[in-house]
Amino acid sequence: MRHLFSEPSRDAELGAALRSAEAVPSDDAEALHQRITAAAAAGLSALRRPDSRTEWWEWLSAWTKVAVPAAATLALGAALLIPSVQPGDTAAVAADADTTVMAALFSDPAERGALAAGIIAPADVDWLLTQVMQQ
Amino acid sequence: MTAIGAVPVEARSGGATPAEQELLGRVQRGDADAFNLLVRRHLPRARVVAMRLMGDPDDADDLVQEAFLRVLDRIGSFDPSRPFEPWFTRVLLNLGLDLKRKQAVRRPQLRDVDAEPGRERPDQDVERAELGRSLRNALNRLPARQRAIVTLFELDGLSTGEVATMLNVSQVTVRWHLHQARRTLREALKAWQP
Repeated sequence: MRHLFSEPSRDAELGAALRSAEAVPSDDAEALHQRITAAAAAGLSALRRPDSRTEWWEWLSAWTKVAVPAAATLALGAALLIPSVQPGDTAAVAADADTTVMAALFSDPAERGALAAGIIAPADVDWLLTQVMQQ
Repeated sequence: MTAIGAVPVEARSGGATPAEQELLGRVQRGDADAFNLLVRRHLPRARVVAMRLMGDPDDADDLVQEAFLRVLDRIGSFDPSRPFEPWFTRVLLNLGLDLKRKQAVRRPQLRDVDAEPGRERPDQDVERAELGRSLRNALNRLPARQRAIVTLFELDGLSTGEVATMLNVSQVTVRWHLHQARRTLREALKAWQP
């Protein structure tokens, strides 16, 4: 276990044997060099592009990250706020209408007629003429 | 004497030289000539390291190409004041180890390198060739990580700490693999010792 906790010394014999047995790479280093530089052309071109020049799709992509959550938040807020106002207003109108109708139903017949005449014009066609003459 | 493909001492310790810093800066700006020079400078050693790891010249060349492209892809995040060689070797080794893992899944049986059955007692030259073949076979049978460690330590002269940094493992792990690899290779050598 001692070999795990101290720096081992080199094995000269093994090193020499490994060196003599070492397989050598193929001769076409120049071909590999050409292959690497050709394959690297696109990467180098990307590095040459100045940071200030932003393509439109990059601009769109960057703003989409902000615009989409902002639009979603606005839509959600609108969806929550708008219905909370409308039902209240509708209920108030409905309550007023109900009160008028209930009053008409439960009042005396004479008053009911007057009330009905106040709300709805009577079926008698002379009613309009009478109204005009009274004026 | 420096072995072929050994890591230059100045590249292993300290920072990058001003010339190297300038070259790396140009590569970061997409200068094709600078990249060509960088490839030319590091290609010979990269091929030797890749060959040791892969054992096959075509696989080794593919690995070298992949490593240079990976390095170019990440050059923007590289600090040019640091030496390039250890970083590049680390990328190369890690890519190579990944590739070996994938190959091990695809073809689990390792073939015998230059196998020639039925050899009689050879003369001295042939004996040396046989020793080399035996050692290469033993080396190729080692797990890829052990092979990388033993060659970086014995042939390149790196310390176990430097190897550990390159492979992103602990120093104790490197020493354990080195011990195992040496034992296996010693067995292969023993058969040829008088």
